[in-house]
Amino acid sequence: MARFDKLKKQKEAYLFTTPGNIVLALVVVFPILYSLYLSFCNMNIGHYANYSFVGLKNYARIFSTTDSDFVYVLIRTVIWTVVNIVLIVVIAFFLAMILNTKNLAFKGIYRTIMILPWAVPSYISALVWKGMFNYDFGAINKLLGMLGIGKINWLTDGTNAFIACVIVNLWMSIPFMMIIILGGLQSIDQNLYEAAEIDGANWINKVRNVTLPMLWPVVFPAIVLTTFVTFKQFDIIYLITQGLGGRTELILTYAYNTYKGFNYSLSAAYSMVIFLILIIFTLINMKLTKGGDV
Amino acid sequence: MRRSTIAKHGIIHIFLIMCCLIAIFPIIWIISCSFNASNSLVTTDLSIIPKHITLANYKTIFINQPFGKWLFNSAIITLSTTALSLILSATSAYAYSRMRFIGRKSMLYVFLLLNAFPNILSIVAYFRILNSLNLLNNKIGLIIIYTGSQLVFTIWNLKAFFDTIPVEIEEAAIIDGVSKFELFHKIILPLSKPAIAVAVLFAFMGGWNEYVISMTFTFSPDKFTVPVGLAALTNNTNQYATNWPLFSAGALIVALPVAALFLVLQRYLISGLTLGGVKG
Repeated sequence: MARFDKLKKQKEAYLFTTPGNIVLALVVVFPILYSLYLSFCNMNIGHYANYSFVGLKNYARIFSTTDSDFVYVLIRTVIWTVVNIVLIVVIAFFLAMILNTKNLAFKGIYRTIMILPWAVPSYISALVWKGMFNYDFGAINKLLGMLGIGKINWLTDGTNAFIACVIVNLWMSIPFMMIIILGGLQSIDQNLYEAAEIDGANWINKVRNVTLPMLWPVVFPAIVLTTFVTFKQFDIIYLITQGLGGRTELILTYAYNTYKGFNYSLSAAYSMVIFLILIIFTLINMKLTKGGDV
Repeated sequence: MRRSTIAKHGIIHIFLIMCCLIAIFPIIWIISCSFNASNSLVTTDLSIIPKHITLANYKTIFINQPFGKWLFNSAIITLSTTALSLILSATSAYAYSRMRFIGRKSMLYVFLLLNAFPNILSIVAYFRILNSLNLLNNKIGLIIIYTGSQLVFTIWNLKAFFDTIPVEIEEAAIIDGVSKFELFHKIILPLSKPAIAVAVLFAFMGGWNEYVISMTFTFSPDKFTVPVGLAALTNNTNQYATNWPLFSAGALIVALPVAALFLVLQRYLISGLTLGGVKG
């Protein structure tokens, strides 16, 4: 009888989960398996219907620095991620500390205005900034002109375009980090600071021994989340520079542009390598946070 | 207040006002652009208030561009995606939270890993699937892809919330002779309004703001979604000449409601993001 009950319960569970699983199988699982299969083939514009199995050739190509820019793009993506995360966290922390000043007037108004960039859809922000970085008519070069600095070719030079994308990404990403940190700061018990003061702590001591340790549990997940988002950034790079012929490419735009160049199997192989990197990140994160308890 | 405090606050106010200007400058720039009679990028000075103010751009985008059609396409796709992903994820999440079955644990771990896979990387496979189903340049294809892409996140989020609802409530209902379906529909769902709000919000944003997939799989302007159409307006490489005033007007029409929604619901958004982030 108990066994029959258990069986019935199992059946019920599968009834509840199957519709979702069918869609997941079609949209998420099948494409990954199919990409894995394609990554061992030579499907491209020349072999669209009559592609054949080529083994590890695509993977060999990815990791040879002469046949593919993938390694360089990966290094650039790591630099992009580190630079952005460091700046986002430092600037957001600084802004949150200032916004958290005791008895400051208009706090709410400042806070609302400063989180506006977060509320604008990211593709619209990227397109607006693309206009603002325009060489002849963009607001940035006009502003630089007024300050007596010459025009900068933001969108045609590789390094400048990379800096422009970092600026846009900071503008878009700082607000979220700032509210998280501000929320963390506001939840710290003021008695801790008073206790520290009695012990003769100065401002730096208080930040180091009270603020940072208390913030960490709140801020760490937000940093992880932002790191993933930054590493997987697509909109900013693609909409503002289109990859600039490879000079501002990050891994996702690179895989996408390879697909656009009709190198289907090569693009699939890139996808698999990127997926592997992301899985490793995810597993490390799960270990660190002991998350994923099911 | 002591004099030193006043001086300190003065400096802080100046600094914060500068930060606010940086934060809203691009927004002011497109507002100004959208009311500008001439293609404002062609002027050389940095005047924020246009010389000739006009509402013509807001009219032209509907008449000279299929903007109404884009809005319609986006609305259909977004609403369908939101409804579908909510129904599918609520039932799945309920089973993962309340029932114990073979494969439950391993499925949840697989979800965590799948969540790491950005759907842009599936583009080759999507192309083959849509092509063979004859769904390229078609709303249904996009709806299926968007729904599937939302599911992992929404299932995890809803499951985490269902876990917080005491089982005792259900046990009491079962004793009263309520069926499993009624239990889910009449007791669990009404109790889960905050979590459902988060799921709806994310599914809505996912569909309304999605750009890459729809750009890749729609080819004719009358099939475009809003993001693809707006991006086309800023490109001068295709049939559309770069038209910043029209782009600005369109961008404001779609961004204002979304931004307002964002600001009103930011508490939910943050809880959704951190919940999804921490617990997977």
